[in-house]
Amino acid sequence: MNSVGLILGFLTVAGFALSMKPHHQAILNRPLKDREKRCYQFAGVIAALVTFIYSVKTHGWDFGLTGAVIDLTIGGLLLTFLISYQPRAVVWLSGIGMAGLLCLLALPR
Amino acid sequence: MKKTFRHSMAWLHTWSGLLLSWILFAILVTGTATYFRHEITRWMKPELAIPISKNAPAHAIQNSLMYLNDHAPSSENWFISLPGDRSGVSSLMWWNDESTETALIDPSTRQEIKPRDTRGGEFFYRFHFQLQLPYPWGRYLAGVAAMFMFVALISGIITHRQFFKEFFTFRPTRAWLRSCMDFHNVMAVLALPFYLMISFSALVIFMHMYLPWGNMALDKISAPAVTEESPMATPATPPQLLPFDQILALVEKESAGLSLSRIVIRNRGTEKADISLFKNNSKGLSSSRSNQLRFSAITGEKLPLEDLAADGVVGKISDVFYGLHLAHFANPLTRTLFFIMGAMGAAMTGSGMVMWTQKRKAAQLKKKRPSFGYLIVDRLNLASITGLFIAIAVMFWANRLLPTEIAMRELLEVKGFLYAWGLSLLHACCRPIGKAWLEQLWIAAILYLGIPLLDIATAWQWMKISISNGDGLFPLFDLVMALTGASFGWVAWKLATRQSKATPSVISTKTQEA
Repeated sequence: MNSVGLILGFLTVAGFALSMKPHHQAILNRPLKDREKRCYQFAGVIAALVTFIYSVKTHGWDFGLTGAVIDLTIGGLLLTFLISYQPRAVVWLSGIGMAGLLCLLALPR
Repeated sequence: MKKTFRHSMAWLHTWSGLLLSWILFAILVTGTATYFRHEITRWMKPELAIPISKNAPAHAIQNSLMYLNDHAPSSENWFISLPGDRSGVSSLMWWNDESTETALIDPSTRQEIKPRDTRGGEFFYRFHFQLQLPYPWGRYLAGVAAMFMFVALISGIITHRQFFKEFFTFRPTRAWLRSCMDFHNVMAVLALPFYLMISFSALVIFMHMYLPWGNMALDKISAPAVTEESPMATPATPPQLLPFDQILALVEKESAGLSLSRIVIRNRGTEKADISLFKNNSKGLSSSRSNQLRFSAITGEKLPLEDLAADGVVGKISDVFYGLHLAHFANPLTRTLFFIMGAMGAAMTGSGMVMWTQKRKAAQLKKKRPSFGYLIVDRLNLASITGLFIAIAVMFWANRLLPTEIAMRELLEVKGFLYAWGLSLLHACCRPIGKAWLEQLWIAAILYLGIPLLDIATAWQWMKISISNGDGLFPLFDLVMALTGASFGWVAWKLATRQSKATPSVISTKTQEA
């Protein structure tokens, strides 16, 4: 369980939320097109896979699966309250999260 | 029978959710607090302000064993819980003929520490599966509540019409009942895997009590046959234990490089005398006994783990569920996240309880007199939700205010908890329900906001030691209490605003007295 897993969990649920019409409207303030919906759903699935793979690789199969579910739960909780009170913050947080992950990938090991 | 399957499930969800909801809410709140029971114990025993290190200091094992050798040389069983990342003291226990004795020692100096008499976080741990009721009735009742929760979860999944469409939906600006329903759904759906795991694992842990017939049948099969030719063996001279120095050397040699949590020396003075070393369960979900090493206390040779081979797949699955429920594998961040999910479970249950009365309120207000069942549920909701938190706060206040030398101190703290809870129910029955909610919310806010000030006023000497050792327990605990108090204050303010905005034609004096 670490911050990378939590960021990945948040990005997963954000992707799925953006593929849903009412949440897309609330976050981006414009209607959702069909092609966009499929892209966001695909992105959400990929992010979910990465969340599970990262958690299993880091913590092993037993705790890894548990940890990934926790990451998605906490990410979903944060996302839900952001959509209700500060929907625009979902975009900012997703951007910061992705930038953070890219920086971590670019760092020498 | 209802018109459709979904209607039937909605009915089942309503009643399985409501009938034991008051007990379930208490189980969820105290169970959530149990994730931090060691920290709560350290706060409630401020005399234990000893530096915490990630692993037990090297001399902790030696000092613990030497203390027991000095104070309990003839005791048959020694139990040592070593200091670790959640406690700075060695906790020792040994059996006398008549009773169990305990001691807490500073692992560096072997000095005994006598903190104030309190159950600490253990109270929440035991309450959440025993409910302060005599054995075994508390466990049976908690088991029934867990089963009801499981049924309510499954029926709720079926009933929830727009499961995926409303996945992240919470609309606080809509009508109050709609917002409450959204909140209940969000709390329920997001942490659903956690609730299914926690309720099912709770049933697995005590399944030998709820379904004892399998064990009873196994006992009959595996009981040794008694024949007339088998003579009663006369006890031989008790076998000689290894000298204490050799036991100490053996334990230190075998534990080198390992992170130990416990040492148990059992059956001293018999041929079965053994030494068990329990490793810290840092990897794996299972609470499996394979995390221990066993040695003979007579010969020093390594022994096989007891009954492990007989466990089989079912035993191993049971170990994993047990481990998942207790979350011993969890580091501080994971434990905090489990805590958040436990709080979500309590919020889910509490919002469900409140929704039951709010959905029926309009119809009840139209009647000449609201039904008795509605009145009872309304008052029990208040006593269960706010009253429980008031009771917990009273226990924390009692911990700081009761003199440390007073007899039966720990029992007085528990009585304070129970009496405060009972008074909350009495208050709910005697006051108009709208005013009762407001008053109890404000009382809870004041009690929790007062805890940091109380802490500084009564435990400053130990807070200073703890903070200077780099231990942030006291400030963190007080911060959580302050946030809890602020939350209650915010809810009280929102409720007061909502009540003052309600028009006189909607609320009549007669109906408000209901």
